[in-house]
Amino acid sequence: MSDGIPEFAIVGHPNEGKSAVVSTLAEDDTVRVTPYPGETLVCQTFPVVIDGKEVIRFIDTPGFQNPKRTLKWIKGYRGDPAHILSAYLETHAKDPDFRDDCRLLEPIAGGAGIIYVVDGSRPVRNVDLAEMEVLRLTGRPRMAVINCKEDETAYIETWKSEFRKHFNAIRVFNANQATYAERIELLENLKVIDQDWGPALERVISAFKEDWQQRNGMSAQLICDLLETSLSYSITRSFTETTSEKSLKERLQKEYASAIEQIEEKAHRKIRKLFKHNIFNYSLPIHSVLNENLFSRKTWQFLGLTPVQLIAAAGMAGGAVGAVLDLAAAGLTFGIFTSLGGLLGAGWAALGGGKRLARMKVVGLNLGGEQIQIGPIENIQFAYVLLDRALIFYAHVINWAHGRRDYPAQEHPDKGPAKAGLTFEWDDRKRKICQAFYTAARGRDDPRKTSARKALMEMLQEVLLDISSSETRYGVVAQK
Amino acid sequence: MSIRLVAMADGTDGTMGMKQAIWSMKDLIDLEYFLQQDENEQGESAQAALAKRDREIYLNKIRPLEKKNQALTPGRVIRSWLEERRTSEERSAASLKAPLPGEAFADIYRLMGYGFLIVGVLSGSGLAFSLLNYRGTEPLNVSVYLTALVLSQCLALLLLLAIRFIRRMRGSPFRGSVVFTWISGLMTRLIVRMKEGPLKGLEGSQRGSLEAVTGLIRGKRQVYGSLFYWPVFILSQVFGIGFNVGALTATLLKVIGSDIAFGWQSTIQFSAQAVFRMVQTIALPWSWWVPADVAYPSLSQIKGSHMVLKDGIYHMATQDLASWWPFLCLAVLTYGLAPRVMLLVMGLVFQKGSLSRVNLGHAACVRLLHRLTTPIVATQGALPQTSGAGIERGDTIQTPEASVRDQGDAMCRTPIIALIPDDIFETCPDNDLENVVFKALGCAIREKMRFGQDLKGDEEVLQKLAIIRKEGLVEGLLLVQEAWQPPIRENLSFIQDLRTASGDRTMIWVGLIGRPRQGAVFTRATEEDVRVWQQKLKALGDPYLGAERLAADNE
Repeated sequence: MSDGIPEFAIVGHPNEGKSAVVSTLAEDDTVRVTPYPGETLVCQTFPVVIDGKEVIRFIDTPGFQNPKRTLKWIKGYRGDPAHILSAYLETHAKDPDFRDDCRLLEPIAGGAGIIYVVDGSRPVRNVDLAEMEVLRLTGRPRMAVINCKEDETAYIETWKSEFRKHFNAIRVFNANQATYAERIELLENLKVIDQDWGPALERVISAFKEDWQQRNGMSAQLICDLLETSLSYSITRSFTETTSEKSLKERLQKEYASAIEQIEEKAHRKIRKLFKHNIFNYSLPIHSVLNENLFSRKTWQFLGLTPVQLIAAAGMAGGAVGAVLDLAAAGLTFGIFTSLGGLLGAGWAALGGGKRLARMKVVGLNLGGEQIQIGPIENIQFAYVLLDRALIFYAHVINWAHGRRDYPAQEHPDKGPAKAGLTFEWDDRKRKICQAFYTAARGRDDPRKTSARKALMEMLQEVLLDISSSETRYGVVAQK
Repeated sequence: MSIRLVAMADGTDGTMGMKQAIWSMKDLIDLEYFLQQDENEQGESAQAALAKRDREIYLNKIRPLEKKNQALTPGRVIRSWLEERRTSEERSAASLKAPLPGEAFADIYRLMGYGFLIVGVLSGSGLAFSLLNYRGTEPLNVSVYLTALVLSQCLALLLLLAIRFIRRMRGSPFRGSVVFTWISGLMTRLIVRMKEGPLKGLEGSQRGSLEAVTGLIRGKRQVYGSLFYWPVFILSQVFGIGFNVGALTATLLKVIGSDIAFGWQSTIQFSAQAVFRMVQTIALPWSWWVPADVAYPSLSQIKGSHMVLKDGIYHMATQDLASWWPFLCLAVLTYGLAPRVMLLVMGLVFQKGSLSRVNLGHAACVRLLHRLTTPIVATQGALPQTSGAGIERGDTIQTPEASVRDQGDAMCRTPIIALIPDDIFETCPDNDLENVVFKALGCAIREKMRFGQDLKGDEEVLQKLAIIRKEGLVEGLLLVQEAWQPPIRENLSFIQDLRTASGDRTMIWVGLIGRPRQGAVFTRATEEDVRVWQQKLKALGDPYLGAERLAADNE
């Protein structure tokens, strides 16, 4: 630590979630995981760089290979306590058996703080006590992190009581919580263990917060763009007598659906890029609503509509597309078909406190031929669906502990589906903003558009921050 | 848990034409091949399939061989199993005509024997012919002949003895022998070629088994000690014999068929008397049974064959010049051929002795025996075979455990010492431990020791074991280990220390258990943890070290 930058060595057994902690702190997926002890070749270093300057550093270390012998040596040391670690390193430098132990203690000898990670769902053992004692005798500031890989909670108290004897701070790492929140809390804990590092850590924390806000802002923007584009999207096609209307209807519907899907996917990809993901997999938790087809039955049903409503919506789409033949002269059929469509959807109750009928507006232009235009969808429910999906995606993207290889996937198929559909729970204020945006996006009044968008963006940022700090798992659909 | 083979006094036993219990090289190689194939099956379901197959073999083929009131020795059991595996492998590979490694080894060995013999004869006769190239201008120099054919062989012999002596002093008789490495390398390459030829692209497990076999032949398996050195030794003696026979034959042919003159020469002015004395000394070994005038040239003949190059040979008497040849032939015979023949005989005798002393006690064999002799308990329906067998033998109906013990389960006679970690020593109920150990290893526990509390305690355990070993009684060790703890250097060092304390051939089992659950200590370890431990233990390269899963019945 000759350059005055605070360093933290992260110590723990392989396969106990140490890499989850490291990747949370460093926001880096490249932490290498190997279950075979003694096979780490290099100590990976993760610097935190703000404005081009390194502010703090995290060092991933290999596990202890000889804790009891190390402890014995340290206890038997009779020299100057200030040089205990450098004496140890000197004595054991040539011994291949102690290679990993030396690698582990090197940064600590150089002044690094210690973050000790254990799996709290398994019992405390003599080996662990030896390791803790070694770390305590180094005299460096040290924090213990309890990571629970399984649901067993019987041992946590024992761990905590042992930790209180050996460490300056304890934290129970919560892999369910979003990475952002968890990281902030870990860093706040670290501030406690040594006063000298307070300022540096504070800088890091505020830098992280700012950075996160920025990313949230960009995500909110992307979501707004997504909504705008989708809400105003339409396809126009001309048709002649020979083309069957029915098949054209179907084709257009498919095209429309796939176009919307593509727009959505693009937006999601951009959001994902904001959060440095290498390992994060495209394949989201299997039962997430995102894997369902947007226009498929399940999605609609899932997101709060009853089957009847679904039929109505389907009928709506079909009816709207079918309400085509627009004879400029007469304008009679126009009215009939749209009202038919409207009747079909008459029983359909809109969500969010308002009762609206959805209509697919069809506009036809004709000069010697006929045309069909599909969209834009005049159904705010659609906007909510898109919003839900985007927010669920965001919630998955920002939490990496689940994506770690050494973290078992927490599948609970027998429990009911977790909370899904965030927009379900929104209050009136939020809905008003959405409504305003929805109307503005489809209109042509530019000042209105701008202000509505601004309001939505602010609201979304709030929402995203909420998600970042919460613990809920979103978007799980139970399979029948 | 060591298993010693009993050599049968007579070769027959009157039942189903089973062969002698003495192993041959071919058998050992095939055994190693099959054992390695089975070792390569790692997963639990594969293990279960193996157990089923072996148990069937035992019940159908081996058990019927038992004579009344006489249980089969473990060696016989393994031998019969080997026969059975051979027949089934031949049946399945019949169309491919790929020989088993043992057979391949036997064939190649025989071929190499012939090859070495022929090469020896050719080189010996070639050398002799070139040495005996007489043009009539000057006699052949006796010292050249003697140096090339006799002295060189004497030196080689002395070198061999010296090296063996030095190595024995150092304690590792056969490592590092150049000849051994070269010849065994050649053999293994040929064997692999023979096996690979008809089978394009071996399966992974077969390849692994072949590797094991080649490792065996190259002397890498410390289980068999120096056993595989003898075939190589015999081959080199065969070469030596061929060489000498070739040289002798060539010399005789030349002597009979063409006119050769021998003479001796030296820059140093030796008197004929001195040379005569030298010759007499050399001829000592045969002078007492060969008549003197043939055994070595007389003084006058030596005088007569003294060569001074500037004088030419015209004046020298033919009889003197020709008098040397019996001496030379007898020298080659005595100093060349005879020692080689003796060494060959010695090699054969030692090889046979080594084979009869083969001790099959290592981990893979013990596992095999366990699979063969442990009844497979199915929870649906009545227990098969065991109760039936019990009744057959006229015993009263016993509980399954007891009847297993009675079925000549030789492994169970020696209970093992269990080493329990301090972490679970208190919470580990004796009953559970015994059951679990019996289920996994088929034996009882004779003593429990606590380890892993601190370094001092571990030292004491090692000392205690060393004392027990002095009394000659460490049959087997079980080290209970929580598999979810990573196998760090300290764990592995402790196991190595256990090995030193308890002897080279003591079986050490590492019993892997999982996380404690609701008070139960003996839970099932996860496959991944087991894999990590198995890999680390394998890297120690100790054939008498094995890993077993310890899990209670309801796991």
